[in-house]
Amino acid sequence: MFTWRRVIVLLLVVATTAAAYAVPPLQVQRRSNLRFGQILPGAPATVLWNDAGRAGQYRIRGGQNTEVLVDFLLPGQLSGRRGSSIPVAFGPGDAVFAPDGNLGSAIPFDPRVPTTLRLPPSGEGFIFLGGTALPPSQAATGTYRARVALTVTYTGN
Amino acid sequence: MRNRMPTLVALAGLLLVPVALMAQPNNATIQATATVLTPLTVTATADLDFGTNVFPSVNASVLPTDGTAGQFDLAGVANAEVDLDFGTLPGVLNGSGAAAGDNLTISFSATDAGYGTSQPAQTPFDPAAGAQPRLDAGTGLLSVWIGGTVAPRADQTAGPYAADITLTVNYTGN
Repeated sequence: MFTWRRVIVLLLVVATTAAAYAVPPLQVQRRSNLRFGQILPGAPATVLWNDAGRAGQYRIRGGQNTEVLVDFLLPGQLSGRRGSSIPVAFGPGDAVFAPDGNLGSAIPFDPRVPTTLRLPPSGEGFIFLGGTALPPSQAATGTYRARVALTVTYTGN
Repeated sequence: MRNRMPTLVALAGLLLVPVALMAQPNNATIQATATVLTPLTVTATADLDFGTNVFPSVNASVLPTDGTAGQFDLAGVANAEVDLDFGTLPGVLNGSGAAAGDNLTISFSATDAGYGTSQPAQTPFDPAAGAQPRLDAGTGLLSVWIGGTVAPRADQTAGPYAADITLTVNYTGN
């Protein structure tokens, strides 16, 4: 038989069950730029992902133990003044995911390919990015830059 | 009233569940940056000149410290390391004019090249192996000199002979 008391109990049960699936919104934050520094024309310059002073870095915050898809939009070149540019390249070992920021357990991945990763119980992880700048021997003197965008999405797993 | 309560219960569930399942993309952008320093320049400032008195059957040599040595002048970032590469050195000088069609053998020893900021104080190196010196820490300049030996035959045709010697220089990044 239906009663108000049974309805209230049922509502509480439903609400509790739904809350168990709820996860906090994903937050991706820029931590540091990928800095090749001063480079010489004709001399390729590589920044390793574990170069603390120069590697690019992002922080991801989300649900504990949730799976996320990370997808980079990588530049093919750095742009300077008056239309000048220098090529930049990324390889399969140029990115790592460090749960909790612990580099000892960092997971390497190819930044050129969308990759699924799992956030740790804390819900926080860091991504480090290296790369190689390839200045031509006649590259013009000056500063060059490009945007490196990272999009992170819950997969639902 | 009895018929509406189950519907409300179901609606409450539907409103909450999508929040959990909805994909929530987020993104951030960093900058990749680099500063390119002064390009390297190389100028050929003097030919390797064996002179006009090369006699048949008499080898003639020019040392890299001689005034007639070949010379290249480099300019770039102070104290930057550079790679010096002569590539394939010529094995003969090709005759022209009266000596057209003949050639004159030339060779280079392991000490026939040198680099430095002054010719008398140059550091010798093997032109066939190359070297990786640093540009001057104060000025960013460096010079390279090259000598060699020609070995004319007894029946060498009189006349002028010449060949190109190319020096390629690149920053090593160090």
